[in-house]
Amino acid sequence: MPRDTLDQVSDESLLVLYANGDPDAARLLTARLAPRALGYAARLLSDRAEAEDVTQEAMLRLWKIAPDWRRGEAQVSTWLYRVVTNLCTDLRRARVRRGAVALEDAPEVASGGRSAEAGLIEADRVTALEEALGQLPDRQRQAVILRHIEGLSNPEIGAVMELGVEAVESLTARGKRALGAILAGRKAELGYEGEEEEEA
Amino acid sequence: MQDDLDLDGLFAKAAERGPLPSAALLARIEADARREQPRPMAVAAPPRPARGWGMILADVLGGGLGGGRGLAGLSLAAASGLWIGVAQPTALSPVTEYLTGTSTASLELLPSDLSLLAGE
Repeated sequence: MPRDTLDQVSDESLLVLYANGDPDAARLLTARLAPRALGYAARLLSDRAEAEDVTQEAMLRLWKIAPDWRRGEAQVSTWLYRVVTNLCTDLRRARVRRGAVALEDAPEVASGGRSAEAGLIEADRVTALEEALGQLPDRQRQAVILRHIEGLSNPEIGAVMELGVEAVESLTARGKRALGAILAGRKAELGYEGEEEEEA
Repeated sequence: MQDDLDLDGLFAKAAERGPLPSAALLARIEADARREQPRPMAVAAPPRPARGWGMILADVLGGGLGGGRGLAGLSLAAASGLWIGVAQPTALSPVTEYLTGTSTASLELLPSDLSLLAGE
């Protein structure tokens, strides 16, 4: 099938084409799904190398299930997020068993020598957000990332986390409140207080 | 408090800053895909060895058509069919009458005595 035609095809149809031997389908699916899987895994693990391994493993499982994929039962992206979630949960548990430094104990963001008065640049705030995400309990972190960064709907998150929509809403709300509390303790460091004074 | 922090704005910026897969990672994933991709099923025709008349005759004599006895029966059936086709039909009429229980009537279309027609 021509490449420009394949661009319009759904993930699920591409997976069926892959299973039928189409040589371009895997490349397109990789281009669509690998960045999402990597971004999600990197935020869950805060470790680029481990996130790459998880992404490759999740995609490998997708290739293996392709011949047996049952159309209409799940979205391919939702299925992949679920696999990434489970792989990351296993890795984090293994870290704890090894006694590795828990993300919750990760050092706070370094200011890089810049003063709070001068304010931190936007990238520092995003870094602070990602570190704060690392301090949330696993399920809250998964739900918040899927909802607010990956942009999934609550029913989609429910499918990923195997939860009802109400449970998803509760997790994301609590996670967001917890993030606010963590970041509020660093408002001065992140330059928010200076902005408030300027606005006043 | 969360409004001051503009969490939604931070989420949006975090989404834009997501890590991109390296070329090496993409290559590894695509290599996995090629290795795992099912191959189209190829239906191969069974091999057919070249067969000459000698092999066919050997098959017939060796049992392909029932061996020597089968060949004898086949020859007898062929000879009988030839005889039935060539022999005089009249020779079969007694057999036909016996089997059907009827006799053969003959109709004379042209009387042998033509004197009436001649008005004599």
